[in-house]
Amino acid sequence: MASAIYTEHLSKQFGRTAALTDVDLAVPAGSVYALVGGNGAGKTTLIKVLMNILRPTGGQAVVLGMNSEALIGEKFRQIGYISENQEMLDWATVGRMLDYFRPFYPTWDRSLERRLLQQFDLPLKRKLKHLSRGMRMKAAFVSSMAYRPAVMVLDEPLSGLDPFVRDELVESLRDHASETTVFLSSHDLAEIESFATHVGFLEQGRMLFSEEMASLLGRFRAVTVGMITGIPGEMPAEWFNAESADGVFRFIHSKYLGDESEAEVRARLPWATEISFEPMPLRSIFLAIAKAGQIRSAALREGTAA
Amino acid sequence: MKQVLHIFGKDMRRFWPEILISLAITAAFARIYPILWLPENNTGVGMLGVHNSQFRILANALLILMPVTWWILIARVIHSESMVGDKQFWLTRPYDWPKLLASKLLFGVMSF
Repeated sequence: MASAIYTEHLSKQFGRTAALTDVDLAVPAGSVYALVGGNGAGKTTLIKVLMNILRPTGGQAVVLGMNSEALIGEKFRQIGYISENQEMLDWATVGRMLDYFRPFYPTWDRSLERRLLQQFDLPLKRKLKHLSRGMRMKAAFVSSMAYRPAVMVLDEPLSGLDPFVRDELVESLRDHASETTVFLSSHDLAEIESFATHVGFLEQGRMLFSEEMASLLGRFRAVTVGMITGIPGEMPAEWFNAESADGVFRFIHSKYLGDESEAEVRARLPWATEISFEPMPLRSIFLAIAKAGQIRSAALREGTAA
Repeated sequence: MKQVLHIFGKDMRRFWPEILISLAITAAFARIYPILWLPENNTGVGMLGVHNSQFRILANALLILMPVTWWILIARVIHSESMVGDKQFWLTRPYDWPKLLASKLLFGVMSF
C-alpha cells in the first residue's frame, strides 16, 4: 500500500537539543495512524515538520508525494490540520469562519458541512472566542473536514475534552477514515485503540516502533509466572520490566509468538508451576514501555554520573 | 486577484470599528483643520459656538492622532495574519503568500 506520509532519517535540532533523531515512519494511505509518546517526546515537533511549520535539520518528510518543505499555498487544499494550540479566527462567528474558508477549497462540500454542523450541534452565530474548548475543536473539525482532504493531521485533538465531545469527534473521524488518511498524536490511548489501524511510539525524539495496531497488540503479553524458586539471571532482550514478589515473577514479553514463546518461557523457567500470558491494552503497553524507558534513562544518568 | 480581495474583504469586516474610528478622525480633521489657516489673533467664535483657539488645540491634536490611528489599524491588519510564529491558522491553509502580501498592501494603500 502506498504511503500517504513517510519520513526518512528525519531529524530536528533546536540549538543543541535534539527534538527528533533519525525518525522513520510510513503512514499507509487510508490508515488511521496514532503517534503516541510522553510529554516532550517530540510529537508536536514531528507534526510541525510534516506541515512545514518547522524545517527539518536532517532527513526528509514526504506528505502526499511532496517534500514537506514544498508544502505551501494550494498544496494545503488536500490537507487538513487541527492542533489544540493553533490560533483560530476568534473574532468571527462559526458561520463567518466557514464562509471565509470555503472559497479557498474547490472541493468544499456544502452538504457535508451542513451535516457536520448538525452532527456537532454548532451554533453558527456564536463567535469562536465565546465557544467552549470542545466546541472550538468541533468548529476546527468542520472547517478541516468539509473539503474532504486526502490527509488529516491532528495534534492532540482530544486532549482536555469531555468524554461526550471526544466520542463525537472520534465518531466523526471514523466516518471519514475510509476516504481520508488520518495522522494524529494523542495521549488518549483507550480512545485511539478503538479506531487507529497503525501506531508509532516516540520517545525522546526517537521512534521506538511504528507498526500496525493489530501486530503491536498481538506481540505484547503480560507474563505471570507462579510459584518459582528462583529468577532467571540473563533474560532475552524482548523480556522487560521484570519484577518478582511473593513467589510471583512478572515481566512483559514484547515478541510473543504464541506456542513458540510459551515453550521458550517454560524452557527458561523450568521451575515454574504456572505461567499465564495476558494480552495487553495499548495503555498498558505504553505505560510499560515508558517505565522501561525511565529505567533506561535513570541507568544512563547513573552511568554518566559515575 | 480573487484571493487578494477575499482576504481584503475579511480584514474590512473584521476591523470595521477601527476603520470607522479612523474615518471619523480623518473627517473631523478635514472639517477642523482650516481653522489653522486663520490668523492666530482670530479668537472669535467658530463652529458650534466654540472659540477658534480651542479648535486650534483640537486640530493640532487630530494632526497627531490621525496618522497614529492609521498606523494602529495597519499594524492590526498585518498582525491578523502574522508572519512571525508557528501557531497562525493561515500557515496550514491554502494561502498564496504573494496574494496575502498584496491584500495587506492594498489595505495599506486604501488607508492612506
